[in-house]
Amino acid sequence: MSSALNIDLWPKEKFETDTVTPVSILRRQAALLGDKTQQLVTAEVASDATPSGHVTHRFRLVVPSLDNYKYELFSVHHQVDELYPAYAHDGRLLRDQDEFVNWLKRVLSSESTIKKIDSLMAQAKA
Amino acid sequence: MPRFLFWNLNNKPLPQLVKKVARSNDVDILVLAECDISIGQLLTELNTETPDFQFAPGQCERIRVFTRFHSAFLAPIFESDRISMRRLRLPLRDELLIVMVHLPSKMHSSAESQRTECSLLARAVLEQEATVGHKRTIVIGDFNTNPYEHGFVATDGLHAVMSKSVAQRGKRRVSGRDFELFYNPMWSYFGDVGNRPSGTYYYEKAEHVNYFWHIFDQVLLRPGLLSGFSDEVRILTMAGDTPLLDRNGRPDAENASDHLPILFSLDF
Repeated sequence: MSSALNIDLWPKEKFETDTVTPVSILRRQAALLGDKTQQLVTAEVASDATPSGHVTHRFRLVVPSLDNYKYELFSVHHQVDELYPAYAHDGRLLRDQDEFVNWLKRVLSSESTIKKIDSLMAQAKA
Repeated sequence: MPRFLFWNLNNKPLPQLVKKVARSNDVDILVLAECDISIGQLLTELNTETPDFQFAPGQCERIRVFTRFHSAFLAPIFESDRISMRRLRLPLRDELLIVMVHLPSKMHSSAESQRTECSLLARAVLEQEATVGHKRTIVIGDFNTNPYEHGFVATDGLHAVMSKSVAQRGKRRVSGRDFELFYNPMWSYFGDVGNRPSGTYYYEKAEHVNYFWHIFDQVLLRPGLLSGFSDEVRILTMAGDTPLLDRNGRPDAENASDHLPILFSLDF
């Protein structure tokens, strides 16, 4: 047998990454919301790709008791073949996962987001 | 035949003009953008003579909706910071999907971003049409985009055409894929033929390319609604007895708004 078949040409013993796709992070946060609102307000992530090679993820609040009313809180997009940089709906550049997570934390804990969830919960209870 | 009016108020305190424009035109659904007037104050003004206007609440703070129908007939189904989509369910009439928008300004968005906004809006419309199970849709608002720009014309944008006969094809096949069409009657309102303004918004700057007049305030209709469309959108220049144009024939941004209201009727 040729010796070329017995050698490992890969540069690493094991490939490992801490990078998670933006959509996975968004879906995880979406899944957490229902338990915090007694399922009155839940969240979902809708994703689609454009012919220009971008994929857009839209984070939406959903009120099941209001005929599945949806409020789109924000959207982010990135190239189909590159997770980062990602771009927020307001044009903010998110260069890597840390910047993305920090930005997302700020958005989800912002006064306007909390106010929106409070308002939707009140309407869901009415 | 229900009458719809859209007006961007430019955050000016104009409750009396809003009332005049709504009452003198017998408006049934009044959609306002950049409205800083409190809901209470505007309702009080609108209902001075007859108490028939209601506020139709929603979560989109850029769009305010008032109606002479019961507000429960105009329930929101999808909203965002800039979009409010509502089902209009009136007794004895087919349901309508009314999409109301205020898209980002050219002052703060590049042409590419504006095109993307139109594309995202178009996809959101398609998604909600699938949810409600029909395509009796109108889109109304301040798009901050002219009818001839790519976001309006392209297949992956709003795909809104100037010709009813083209729109009535329903969809158009490009590169093996079908794209739904909108009819955009606003194309007919450029220029100054007849006694009317040349657009809904005027902007002048010492640049080599300048259109001066723009039609940012528009209504689009799916072809299935064209048989009930009055075939006319009026760009209003008067609010009752008060002119909305200055002495140069441009929107009177000092005493009214920098945008002119648009009015149309639709039977459905």
